Amino acid sequence: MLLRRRRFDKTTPLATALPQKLTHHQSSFRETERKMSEDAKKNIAGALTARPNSDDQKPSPLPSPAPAVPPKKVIIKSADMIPDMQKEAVDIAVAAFEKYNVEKDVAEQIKKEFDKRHGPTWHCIVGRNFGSYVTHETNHFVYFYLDQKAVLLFKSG
Amino acid sequence: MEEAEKELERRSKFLNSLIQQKKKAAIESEHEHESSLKVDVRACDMPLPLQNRAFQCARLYLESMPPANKLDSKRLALALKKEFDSSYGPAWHCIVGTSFGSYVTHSVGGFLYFSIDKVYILLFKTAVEPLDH
Repeated sequence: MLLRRRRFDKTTPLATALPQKLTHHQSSFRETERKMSEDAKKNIAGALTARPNSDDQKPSPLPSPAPAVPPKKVIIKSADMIPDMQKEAVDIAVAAFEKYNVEKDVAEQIKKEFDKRHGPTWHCIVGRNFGSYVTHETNHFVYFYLDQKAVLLFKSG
Repeated sequence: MEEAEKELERRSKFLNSLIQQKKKAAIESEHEHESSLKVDVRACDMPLPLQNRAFQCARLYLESMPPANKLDSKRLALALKKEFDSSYGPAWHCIVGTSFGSYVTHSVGGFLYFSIDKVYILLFKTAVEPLDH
């Protein structure tokens, strides 16, 4: 089936990527429905909380002349994903936020990286205010906050 | 002659009340027209009947809420997704909000991004492969 890739943001003009044929390699597909919202309060027991770049910090006797960038606060709101993949999603998102300012660019970076590493087809939503209802493959869904921004990443299709 | 005058007066009152009712009806219809929520299609790859279905569903939902209420974006997302899943087959995905960006891959003919009032709605479809048996 011919699929079309499309990205947009409400503040920028739209561009349509060229049609691209995707090949599905999965031998089976199991669906679960999942909902979340910017108001979601449910926390998964043992949810991952990570402080990126903390390994790079070393004790120094004197205060650093340049103020260190405070690590972003990470909260996993909801996940159906193995922990390693969750951490990968967070790390890629942190890097994307450092590199881009526009939400759609962050979403693009995350989605493309996951399409590359874990096979198509992934979808990514980034923003301050949104609710959603999606269908995703089992074990391929994560919804987390980086400071004030929510990131929804899931695989379907 | 008095009888004739009374009859004329009665008819005159009746006509006046008819005119008043007409005016009220006209005013009400104007208000109704004004309150109709405006839809802006931002991006689209979807047949017109499906688009109209999405607009109608979103409009009905928003109009059913008291004006002062805060938008419940996940309920609206749920309503739209379920309607499209049941009417046009799985799998549809819906995002509703006032501030978000996205990057998705969708099936041909299964993509719509529109705004209604101050809400932005993304609705798209992906292919579903059957389970192996």
